[in-house]
Amino acid sequence: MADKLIIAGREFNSRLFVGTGKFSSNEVMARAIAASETEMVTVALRRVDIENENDDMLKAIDTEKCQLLPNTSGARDADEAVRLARLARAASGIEWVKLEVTPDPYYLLPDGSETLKAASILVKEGFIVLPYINADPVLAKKLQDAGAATVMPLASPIGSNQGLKTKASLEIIISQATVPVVVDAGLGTPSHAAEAMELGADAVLVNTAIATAGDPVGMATAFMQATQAGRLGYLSGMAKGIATANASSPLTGFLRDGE
Amino acid sequence: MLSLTINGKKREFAAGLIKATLSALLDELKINHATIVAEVDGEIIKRQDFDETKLSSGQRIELVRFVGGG
Repeated sequence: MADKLIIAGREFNSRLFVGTGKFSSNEVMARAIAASETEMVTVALRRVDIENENDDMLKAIDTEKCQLLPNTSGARDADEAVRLARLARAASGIEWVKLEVTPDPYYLLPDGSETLKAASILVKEGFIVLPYINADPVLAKKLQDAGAATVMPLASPIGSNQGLKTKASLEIIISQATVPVVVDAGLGTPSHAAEAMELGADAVLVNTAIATAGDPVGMATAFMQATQAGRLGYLSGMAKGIATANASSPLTGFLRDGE
Repeated sequence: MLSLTINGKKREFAAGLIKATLSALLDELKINHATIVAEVDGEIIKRQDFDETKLSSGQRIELVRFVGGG
């Protein structure tokens, strides 16, 4: 099926993006990534722990198949996010960046004005910017106008597994966007991913729900299938909900005469 | 004595122990050059410049690398 997602000129066959945090080991992460069939994985930047030299987690990711998407997690304002993006580019040569600016450590909700400010700077510096935002249709439009490659509105707070709490706003964003819409954060179950895709999202990003599952590889497969099912449902023209029953079997019969 | 602040922590090196370059420092700390990115006093140092980047006492050095994240 020629239903490709295109972001900044790159084609993706998979509409499931996978985050690499919280896995119990690089080995489990690698198997979950393979099972998810994802072609976009997020990574974060952190200080090297000088006392405890850890393995290089990038070795566990097939970067031929998967686009690496460094994030700016930990940034609390535009300046910190820009600095992290530049470091990530220096570290990897990759110009893609998941821009996230989250000043509030409790809900990790993104700061829209700082995100817009950072996005404008990074776009001018040649970055491919995928901003993580609250489900704010006006902000989504402003970011699109500023040159963002996608918008990534949240379904619910990061890691909360609450599903599509922002559904009505997501629908508005999807109806207005001219760049791909990636529903990010809070998708806790495969059905949440399917629901987002049925709404018309172009992709979903999942991390916690896969990484912390009892069987991350099984859950990665489940999210892969749910994302595909939701997408195919959306493309196939879904039946509309109505208030009363509408029989799917013929009601005319032979049990009673005169009906 | 070479005194540097590395990832927020002050560290001292006997002057003779390392040639005062970023490369030598990374070797001393047993850090794989290929997997990290460095900032010296807020300026990003490209990997190919690690050898030529001279260090002096009082500098702030940040060493970062990719980890799992969503």
